[in-house]
Amino acid sequence: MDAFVNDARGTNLKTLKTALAKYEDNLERAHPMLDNILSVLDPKQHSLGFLYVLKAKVGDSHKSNEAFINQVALFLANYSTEQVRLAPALFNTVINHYTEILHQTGQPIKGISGLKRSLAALSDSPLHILSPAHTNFLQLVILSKCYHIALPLIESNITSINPDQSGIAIQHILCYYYYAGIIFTALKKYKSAAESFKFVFTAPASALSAIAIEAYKKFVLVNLIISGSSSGFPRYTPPIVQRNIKSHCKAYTELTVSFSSNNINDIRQKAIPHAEAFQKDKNWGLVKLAIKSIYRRNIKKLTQTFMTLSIADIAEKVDLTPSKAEAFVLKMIEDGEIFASISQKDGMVSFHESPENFSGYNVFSELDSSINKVIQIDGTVKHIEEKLTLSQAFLKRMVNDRRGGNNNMNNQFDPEIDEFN
Amino acid sequence: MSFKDIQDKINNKDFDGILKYCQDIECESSEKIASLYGAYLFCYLIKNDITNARFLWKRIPSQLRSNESLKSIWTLAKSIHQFDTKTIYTLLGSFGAEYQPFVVFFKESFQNRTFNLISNAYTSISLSDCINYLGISQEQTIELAKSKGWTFDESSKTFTPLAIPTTQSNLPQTDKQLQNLTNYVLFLEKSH
Repeated sequence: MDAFVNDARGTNLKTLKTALAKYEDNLERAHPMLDNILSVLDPKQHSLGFLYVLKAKVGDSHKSNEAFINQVALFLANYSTEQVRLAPALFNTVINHYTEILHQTGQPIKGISGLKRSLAALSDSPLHILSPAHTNFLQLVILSKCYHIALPLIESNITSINPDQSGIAIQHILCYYYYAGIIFTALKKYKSAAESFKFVFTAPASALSAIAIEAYKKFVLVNLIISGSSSGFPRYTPPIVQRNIKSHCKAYTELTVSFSSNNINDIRQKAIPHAEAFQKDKNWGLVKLAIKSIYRRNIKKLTQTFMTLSIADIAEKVDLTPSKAEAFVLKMIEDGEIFASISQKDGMVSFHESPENFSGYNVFSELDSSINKVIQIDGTVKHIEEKLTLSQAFLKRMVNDRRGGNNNMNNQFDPEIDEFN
Repeated sequence: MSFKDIQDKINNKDFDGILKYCQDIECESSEKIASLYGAYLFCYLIKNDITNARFLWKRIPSQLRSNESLKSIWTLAKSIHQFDTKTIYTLLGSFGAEYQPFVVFFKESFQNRTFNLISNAYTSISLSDCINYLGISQEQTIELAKSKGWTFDESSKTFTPLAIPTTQSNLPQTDKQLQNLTNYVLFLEKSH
């Protein structure tokens, strides 16, 4: 093992990986000695060697979990990006195991700051390029309930992945968006949550995955909270998902159907037989929130029909006690959902139009930021398109398609071929 | 319990700063944050962020949750969520000296927010409800309302609040706007 330590202290990055790779099996067989080796390596100067030892420790079922957690934390606080990038697979294995151990020992919060630092290890731009560590990071955020920490990450647009550099695979990406959806839901940002869940089940697929099913279930519930109806499948959903997913989510489809009545007692009655299924999926809380959202929607509907209405009438129409109805209306005025004023003297509520005249600074700056976003997205799309049209795989495909011109599939690509010539 | 690490920030009423500080050290050290949970939770209430306050409450280790002050702050959070003003004002009176800066600041901003809400949401409101919402005495309520231009009808004991007009902030500086427009045109030129 002295030889390993010597080689791990080598400074030539080009030969470091080959020099160390040959020890991998030896390290696996030397479990009791690994802690000693780590103590003589510096996590910053000898990151790769350190990483090899940590990876060997993953397979050691007798190790002290506490010691392993501290060693990885030390590593993540100091690692050298250059060296880690020589061995992305090792890095991902260690991070994944670290996440698992933190989960098992019930202290996920301990790993948050380490994993936050690990995001940049295999990603040149942690907010825009996904790596497997991103998924582990979100996992810990959810387990520790520190949802606010992930917000800056999940609110930025991921525009790229780099499998060669980070070793990212499809399940990392799907899980990332599934977890992001869960975090958005927890923070009550339902629109962003729906977008994230939608991404998971609309991703190109040749078979139905468990992640897609779970994401679809949550997508249905979040949509019920937002609008009280289902939004259906986007056109680009893979056919195999469209055809098969509903048979896995019967309870959810029936709940959606029951929502069309807008009658809260009725919907509640219909949800109860499925309670077990919802609880098993850990979605019961969302179901309850969805049902509660009906009150707000029903009050909102009244504003479209009436100019003024007595509090007693509102209470009767939405099935609440008068004092609760008043509290609901007040809360909705506060949140800017409706525009109304309550008169306690005659017990009436008058509904108004939105006072916004769309000429102020707020509207202007909103418009401005939207335009800027579009300009940015346009740049990104162009960049990706350029990269695609210049890639060898794409060119080959185009040439082949031109030759075998009688294939039906080709017609769909025609516009691109024309533009290409 | 005292908050020596954040005393400066408390003196400056920098509650955003306290929140940020607590968020940062929460993940770094479970010992350091243990004594700060009360301040941390209160800052979320000052920001009226009940969602995050709820998750913080869930993160507090169960042996600490039995602390009386922490329990009161959590009850306060629940009352804010239910807009149960009576409980809110009673609870605010029950905190110890170390929480006074938080209590004072919270009470003031909560009263302001509530007053603005009533102004815009009611065209008439009874004196008793108004006292309930603002948590001040009858005389103070009438005085405050009159100073804001509300009219008070003695016979029916109701106020007629005066709605607060929404203020339009100014348009941005012209050179910044000009630069924005230039960028738009440049973008359109480039893509066609």
